[in-house]
Amino acid sequence: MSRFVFATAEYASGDWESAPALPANLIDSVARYTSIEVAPAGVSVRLDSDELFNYPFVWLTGHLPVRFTEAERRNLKRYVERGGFMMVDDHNHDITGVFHQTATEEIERLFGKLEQVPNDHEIYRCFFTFENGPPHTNHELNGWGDDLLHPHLYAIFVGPSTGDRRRDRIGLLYSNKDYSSEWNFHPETKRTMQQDPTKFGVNLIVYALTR
Amino acid sequence: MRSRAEVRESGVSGMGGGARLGARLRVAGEWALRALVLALLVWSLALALSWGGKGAVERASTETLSEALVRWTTVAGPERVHVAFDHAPSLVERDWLAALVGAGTQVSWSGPSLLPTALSIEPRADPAGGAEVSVAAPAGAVVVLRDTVGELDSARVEAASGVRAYIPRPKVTLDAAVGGVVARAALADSLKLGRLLVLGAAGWETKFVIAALEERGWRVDAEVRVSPQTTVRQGSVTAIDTSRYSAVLVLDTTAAAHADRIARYVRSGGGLVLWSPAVDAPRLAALAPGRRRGEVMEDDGRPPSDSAPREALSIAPITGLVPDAVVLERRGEHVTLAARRLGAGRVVETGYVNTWRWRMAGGEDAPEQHRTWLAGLVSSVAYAGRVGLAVPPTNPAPLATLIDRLGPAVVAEEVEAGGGLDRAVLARWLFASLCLALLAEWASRRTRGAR
Amino acid sequence: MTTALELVRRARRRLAAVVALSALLWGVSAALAVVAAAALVRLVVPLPAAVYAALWPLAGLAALASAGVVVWRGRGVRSLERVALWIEERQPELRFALVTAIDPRVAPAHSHAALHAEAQRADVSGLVGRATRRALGRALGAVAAFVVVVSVLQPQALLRAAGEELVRRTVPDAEAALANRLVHLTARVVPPSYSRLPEAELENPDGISALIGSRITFAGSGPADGVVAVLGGDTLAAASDGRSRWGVEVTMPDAPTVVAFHDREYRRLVVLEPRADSVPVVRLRLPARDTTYQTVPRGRLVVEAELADDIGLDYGVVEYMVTKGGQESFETKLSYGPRVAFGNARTAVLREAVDLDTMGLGPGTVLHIRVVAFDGNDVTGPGKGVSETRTLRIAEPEDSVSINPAPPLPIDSMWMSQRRLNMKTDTLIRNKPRLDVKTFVNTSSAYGNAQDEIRQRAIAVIRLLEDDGVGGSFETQVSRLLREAVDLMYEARVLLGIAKPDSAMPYMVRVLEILDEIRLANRYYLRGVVLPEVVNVERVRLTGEDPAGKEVREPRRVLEDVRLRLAARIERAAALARSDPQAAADSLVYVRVAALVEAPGVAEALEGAIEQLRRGVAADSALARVRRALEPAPVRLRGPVEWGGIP
Repeated sequence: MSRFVFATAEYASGDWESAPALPANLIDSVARYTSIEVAPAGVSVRLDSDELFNYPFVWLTGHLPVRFTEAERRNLKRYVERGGFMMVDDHNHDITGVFHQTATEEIERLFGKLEQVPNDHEIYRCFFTFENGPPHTNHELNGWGDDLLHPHLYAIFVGPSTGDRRRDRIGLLYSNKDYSSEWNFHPETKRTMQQDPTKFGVNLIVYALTR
Repeated sequence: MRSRAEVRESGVSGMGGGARLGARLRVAGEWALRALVLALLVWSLALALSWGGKGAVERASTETLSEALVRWTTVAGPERVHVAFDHAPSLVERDWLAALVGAGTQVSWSGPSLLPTALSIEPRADPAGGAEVSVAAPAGAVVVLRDTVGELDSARVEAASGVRAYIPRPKVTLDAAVGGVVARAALADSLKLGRLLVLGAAGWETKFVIAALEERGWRVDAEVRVSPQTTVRQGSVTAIDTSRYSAVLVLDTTAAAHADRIARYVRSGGGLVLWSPAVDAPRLAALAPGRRRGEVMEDDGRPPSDSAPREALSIAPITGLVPDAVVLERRGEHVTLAARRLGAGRVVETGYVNTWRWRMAGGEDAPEQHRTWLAGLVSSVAYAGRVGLAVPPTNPAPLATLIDRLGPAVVAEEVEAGGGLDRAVLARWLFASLCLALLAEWASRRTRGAR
Repeated sequence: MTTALELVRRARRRLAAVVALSALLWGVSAALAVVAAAALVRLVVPLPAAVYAALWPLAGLAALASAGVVVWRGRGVRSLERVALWIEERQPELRFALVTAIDPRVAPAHSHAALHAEAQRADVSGLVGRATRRALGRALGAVAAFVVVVSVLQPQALLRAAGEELVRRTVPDAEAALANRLVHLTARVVPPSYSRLPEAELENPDGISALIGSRITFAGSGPADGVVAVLGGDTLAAASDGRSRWGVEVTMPDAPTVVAFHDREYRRLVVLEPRADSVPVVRLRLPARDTTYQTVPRGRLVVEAELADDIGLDYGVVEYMVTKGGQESFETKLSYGPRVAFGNARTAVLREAVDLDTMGLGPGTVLHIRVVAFDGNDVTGPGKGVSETRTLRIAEPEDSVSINPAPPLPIDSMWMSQRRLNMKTDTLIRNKPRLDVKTFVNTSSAYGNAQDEIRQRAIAVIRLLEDDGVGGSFETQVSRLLREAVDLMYEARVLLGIAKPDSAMPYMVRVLEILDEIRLANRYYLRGVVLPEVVNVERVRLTGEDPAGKEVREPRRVLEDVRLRLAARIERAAALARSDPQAAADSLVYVRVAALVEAPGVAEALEGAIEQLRRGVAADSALARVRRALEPAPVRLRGPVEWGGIP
């Protein structure tokens, strides 16, 4: 019916399956904190198939180069324009790395320039509140990848603008922060953690479902 | 001075044999012309007497009516007239004929080819505007809708349902042409729309329903339940009443807490659109056309087609219909759309539980189609105040008003014959014939030297 | 008493005045006759420009000639004797008394009194008066007749045009000063040099379509002073080219626009329709599809692509991207084949063979191949076209079929913990120069304790795995690996305890590899298939304790339909067309420019309507068709009327 199904995007050129535990982890978090009806298991869906449009939230990650086929590009453009939400996360956490270079090239070829998301955008307040914008990941804090702390996420904004990017709607969200690594663990492990690092993932899903 | 006879004699006797014959023939011809003139005069007199008498009918057709009206009003003042219409008269001509009746002329008319036609146009409760048009006409007739720009659409009337259409951009007036009858209507009101209130749990259906309605232009207040402690709000939901809301949309049982307020709102004239899963809450079920719902029949994931988009959606069939429920749509034996009146308000229940798939997975125009369909659901129940507009003259039911003014049609053959020809035409021919005859007779006499 | 001489003198003066006046009147008549004749002829056939130019001079000449003839015929009034003879002719009873009496040498008055008396009895004034009336009457009559004819023919426009033509031909600058300098417009279009497209000359263009960056020179006749072109927000003054022509140069912008020319009260609009230079289209023919190799491929791989460009191809190149690595560590090497020049050809085929042995391929490597082509656009930058990417993978051994049950939960968490510990230790090692000894030692020791804690968890898992349930134990593949890891953890713990994290690091790295191996070996993983983990949603439902914030949703904006906006503008222009077709045409030019971007099909239909309006033809039906095409179509409704709104 209207229940939320976590979908991972399969694309031809890369290792789309590089964060296999992430879907279960976020499903677990959504169930923990919300009453949103959620499917107990995630699915993977090909970016070039019609099935993509049955999942208005989709996660795309990887380490390898991202080179979309024509069918994948066509689908992705239509998906975002119709109201789908795509999260693209660089699993390398490296702005000099091939995933970032190629994925941003593909995204900008389709939609134009990625824009910085203001750190007081409603996506940071739509469920949990993140006063300083996107939470940092362990990879960032420990200097892995490009050894940078990325203070912002980037987005393709869709729909008529309000004139204030803090309130404009995000159709595609791009991250250099490697949430794919941060959240790629079994959900039971959260019980041993002081802070649940997946709370921002809940924000992403609540944003997609309510905005 | 010589007499005419002497002149004639001299003229004739002064000629040769052949010339004498010709002259005699000529004289005979002149006598014939004199006889003709006399006959024509007698006939004119007889006609004048008969036309002035009772039972004489002046006739006109659609083409000659405007000229005839002028004559009947200013010159002739006939007792009886009959008009044979092959298409409906204009408002002016109709009213003019009615005025002749008032002045004492008996007016009859016939028009076997005129089809009964009626046109109504109502504003649609939709921020995108538009109007709903209904045309009543006999089954099988072809209705052509036209506005000031040109032809809009044409359709054949099926059975007794007439033709109904939604016109997104109506102009000042709209015409419906059915054969020779053109009905004209104009929007007499505009609507003052309130806001919509959407109540539901966070999910794709709630998200895309709100999105579609906002994109359509509706101002939406919403309460979207994310968790027992967290509700995403839009606008401030204080009172649910018709001064604020044109309609309330309830997608699931999360609105059960508002059920009493919604019930009061609907009974006082408000509109309610209910998704069938909401009837799982008894207090919401009490408002619905269908008190229960069937098990959800999941779709098979195929993309909705352009021609039958809702066939590819999941449904929770509407069951337990109340006696006054009206079924609006079915899929096979399952009821997918139903409606009812509740007090002064209206309720529509939809069994389609994931219309968002239509928007996401449908064809090229699917997002717009989805918006239009949802807006249609809302407009069918929405409460809206009306503001009158200044409208130009209209004629929404031409045949009916013609009958109203002039009485029912008569069969043309039953009208007493008053002459095979139009009087004016006959009079002109008579006069012309008289003049020609007289002129010919005079010319013949003068040219042969007679006086 | 008036003498005969005085009589004749008086008569001469009056007759001279009559002659002069008659000459004037006949001159006017002749001029009017010429004008009337021209006007009459113009009613039947159009007059050539030369006749217009000659009209005023001809009328003047006719007037002069006519007056001259009258003066010539009346020249006799100069002579007293001729005047006297003229009187004698009309009064023969004088028997030449008058002509004799006026000459004192012949007949002095004192000796010819009778003669003078006879002469003085002549009715000179009456004669002169009658002659005056006759002469002037005829002349006035002629004038009046021609005035009537001319006033019927209304030759004012003819005279004005004749005057203008005369001035235009005789005064060099007057033509330009009077005429509309925008009437005859020419445009020379020079495409950017890289395109190697020919120049074009256009006469009186209403719209120009050309490549972005093309130079367009508009020119017209007349001096440049006062002629301006407005393009976007810029006003460009025309320059003179020294040959009584003005010119202004513009560059084709990247969006459709209108250039408005102004010359005093005259205006002319020209639409500029830019054509973008499309990027090259590249279709990769070989390799034909993505491939996964079970073993490392050797030999030569042929790459072939078809390329096409609307203007011309500059060069193309094959791009190779080799990525190797795994888990969190990948490296990518980007290389290119030789650059192949295409010399501005519109189509080409690029083919090359690459030696796979030189690519450094191995198990787990991924090779991405695509062809990139560039055109020679040096105006907006070279257009880059790319082909689809072919992905060639070389499988790793575990990429096939081994499916094992999911690992016990602690493996995952141990792996996470070990990974975090490794990161922290790595950071400690890098930060060592900045830390004081005590902090460094304490931190290393704490990390040693953390390592020991993980070791204890691993030991607990080993016991769990090896417990046969009946008091005995047996080794499993996983427990064997864990034992190895436990030993390495011990070594690392000791080294961390003595503040040697750099020595501990290799052991810790190996521990993580083992844990990862255990974890990954148990992924249900066939290439492209990941079997998802199922969460017990109901068990965890609403067990989270962190409070959420309260955020208000921002409403979406209404979607504006640009086609309806265009339709509204066309409707306003259509209403204007009835009263001012030219203004309506100008208005539609701007709508057409907007439509070029928002609704290109409509732009073409508008062009026809604009052309009709410029010619003075009603464009109602053309505009109605366009408006109808822009508006949404009616939607049939079904179902009961009272619930009617649902399509």
